[in-house]
Amino acid sequence: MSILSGKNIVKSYGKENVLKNVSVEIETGKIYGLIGRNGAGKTTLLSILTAQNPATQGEITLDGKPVWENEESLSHICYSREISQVTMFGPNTLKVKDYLGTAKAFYRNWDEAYAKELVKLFNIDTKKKISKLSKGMLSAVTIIVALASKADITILDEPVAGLDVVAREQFYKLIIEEYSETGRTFIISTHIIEEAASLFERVIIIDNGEIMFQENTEDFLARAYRVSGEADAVDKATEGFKIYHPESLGRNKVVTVLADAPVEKFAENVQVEPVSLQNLFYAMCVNDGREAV
Amino acid sequence: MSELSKRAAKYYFIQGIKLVMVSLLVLIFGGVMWTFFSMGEANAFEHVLNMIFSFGTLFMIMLNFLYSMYSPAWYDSLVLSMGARRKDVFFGELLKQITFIIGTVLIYIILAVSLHRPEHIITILTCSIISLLMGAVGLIVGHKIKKYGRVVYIIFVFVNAALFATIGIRQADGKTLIDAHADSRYVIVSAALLLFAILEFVVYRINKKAMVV
Amino acid sequence: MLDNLGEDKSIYLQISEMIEDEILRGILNEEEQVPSTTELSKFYKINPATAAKGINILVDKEVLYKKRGIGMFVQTGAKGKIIEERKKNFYETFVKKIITEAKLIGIDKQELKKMIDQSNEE
Repeated sequence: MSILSGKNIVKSYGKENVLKNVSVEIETGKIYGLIGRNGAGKTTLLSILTAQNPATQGEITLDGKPVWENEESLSHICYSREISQVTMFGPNTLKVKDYLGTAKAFYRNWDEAYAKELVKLFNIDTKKKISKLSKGMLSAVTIIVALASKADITILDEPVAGLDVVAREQFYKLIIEEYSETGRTFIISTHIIEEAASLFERVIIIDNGEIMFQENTEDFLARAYRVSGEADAVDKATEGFKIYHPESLGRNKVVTVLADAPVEKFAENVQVEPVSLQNLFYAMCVNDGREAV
Repeated sequence: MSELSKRAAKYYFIQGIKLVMVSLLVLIFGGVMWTFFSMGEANAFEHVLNMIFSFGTLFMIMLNFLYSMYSPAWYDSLVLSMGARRKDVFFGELLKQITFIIGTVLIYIILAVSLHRPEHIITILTCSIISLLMGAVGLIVGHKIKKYGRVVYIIFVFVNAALFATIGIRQADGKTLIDAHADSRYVIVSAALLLFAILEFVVYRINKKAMVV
Repeated sequence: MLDNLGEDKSIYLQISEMIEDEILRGILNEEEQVPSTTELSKFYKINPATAAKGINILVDKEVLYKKRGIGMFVQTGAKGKIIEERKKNFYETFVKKIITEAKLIGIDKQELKKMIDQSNEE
């Protein structure tokens, strides 16, 4: 197993700190989910981990060796990002086949047959210019590059953004198939959390340029609860725990709790339910949580 | 040479060849167009040839400049996002431009020799050096556009328009683009080469910290 | 088969329970092959490692066994094992809930017994 590690990453643009002392460890052979709000720093973090952007401070290594400008490290990585349909000079007139051709030239393990198969599956006309593609086709092209790169560590940034539900399900199937067959590492950043949550062995949550959590998804959710009931009862039952997003309706109160370890029992007079990853994320990032002492 | 370097070199070489094709197309198109326009004029053939060699070589300069300008924010950024190193991009760009220039120069020299007009060869060679220089300038401009946005691009569109107008006026006066007299030639070429070396160094420095757009 | 996974329990537990249910119901018979990890993960859109975890629990319980190179099979006697375990947990899993709810809405033991007798007749 290899580790792609980012230690103490700081990224600032002028006075603005986009990433504030971020440390992550990616173990190969797993599917990771990277979730965070818009502007949280997901894309910046991924660009820095893959040496596409320089960090202001911090060390990025793969198996202990630096990634920056390092051929060996770079050959194991593919970061397929959103393709822009406009350039500084006008519409992006690059044809899909040229885009894929560039990928073929640079990714060491590019699988052309697989790429052709996927092009057919997604029904892409490769002679089309990027500026003329629909959102769905645009997403499809980034997915094709990611999958056909056959890179050990493959990163997809918002891969399902333009896809309708049928295409999304198709995408998840492709990832599962590929992962089952090859055990490649996938890091998927997404907004559509709940659909993909069951895919993620580990989840990384980033908010405001800081990593809030990076854990095994199941273990993480096993210690998250939605506690509801009469306001006083809920407060008493959840004393000492980390609370997020308390909501009240009349005398009924609901809070999301994240414990340090799974809780056997809270109290008799409150109702306890598990929380989905999406709801947990929502509760944590919607900015009205308080931390318990 | 490392495996990645080889692949990058091959890629950029092919891009250079594609640009040579563009040059060829411009040449053919220009030739046809000027022939058409000079039909029936006295000395039509002379005129057309002059046009081809002066504008053609001008295009060599312009094309290299333009493509270089487009590269940092577009093509090079793309390549960088697909696992190339910055040094692969730097050397690749040089390879692409040199391939383009040599390819285009060969086409024009062959044309000049086969049409028994060896006097144009000097112009061709001088323009090739200037083209090289303008390639480096283009890269720097391209990086500035990448950093500061479209504004820089618009400024240069205007500058280009002005340049074209000036040349157009000179053409109308019957002069070729560059009066390649014996003495000034050497000065121009030496200055251009020196400037080229300096600018490539600047490009190398900027490129080192390049980000994917 | 479950057509959807719920939020209430770890996914791998749902997978292992679902397979146990099928064994109990006779949808999966002893010595029959069980869907592979890949098939399960594709069907439910879950991480293959999670599907594998669910299957491994059943292997540890000796409900399933592995035939090398072929796949996972239902052990002889699996049904019996599952029944035994579920009987042990029946009180905790189901009965307690009924009693709590009955208390909440004021159904006493007599009424409960009546309801159970009724259902036996159906």
